[in-house]
Amino acid sequence: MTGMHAVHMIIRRGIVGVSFVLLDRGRYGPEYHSPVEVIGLYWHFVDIVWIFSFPLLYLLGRHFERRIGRGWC
Amino acid sequence: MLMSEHIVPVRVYITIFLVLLVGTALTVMAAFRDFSYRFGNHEVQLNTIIALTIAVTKATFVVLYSMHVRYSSRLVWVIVASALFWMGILFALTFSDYWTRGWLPVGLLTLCYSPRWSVISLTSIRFLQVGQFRRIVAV
Repeated sequence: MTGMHAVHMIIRRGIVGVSFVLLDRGRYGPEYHSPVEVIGLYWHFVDIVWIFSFPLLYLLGRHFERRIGRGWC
Repeated sequence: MLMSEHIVPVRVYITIFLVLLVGTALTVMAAFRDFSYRFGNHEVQLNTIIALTIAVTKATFVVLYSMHVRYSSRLVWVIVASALFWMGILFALTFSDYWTRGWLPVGLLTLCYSPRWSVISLTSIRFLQVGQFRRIVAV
């Protein structure tokens, strides 16, 4: 799951980097900026996934590990 | 266009960023405590609920402000609501399996191989190795 998230991270770094380059070239302005909005939506989608996966994968495990290995299946 | 042309001041984004940082700190602090309580024979573990409550709050802030949903049209709100509804359907289908695993009737082969002779569900049979299977049959 973290690997999947890493792939999304790489993708979003890539498209945000490309959008920065295009912004630097003056492609976007007040009339034309919906790619920036869509890229922002993707950025925050990956963001929300991390908001949930960080506590579930990294923080809550220490509360479950004492339940495992108690001898019941 | 996709979004309404509402200009959000930078101050809002900084506030949301600080809120998210506080939420992360709260999640980490809550994870290092043990929120398990006993009510008679029941032990309630609140760590997951607390962590997920903070996470849902943070995600709501991200969706409303960072994704501009708060300043968007009713159509966007309907789309968000339908997406959440669809996610609820998926969760309901998953948990209808996951929560009811232990409710299945107990047969002879479901006697567990653990030292305490506790009981497992029928669905756990597939995890038994062949040797364990023979041992149970021999017993």
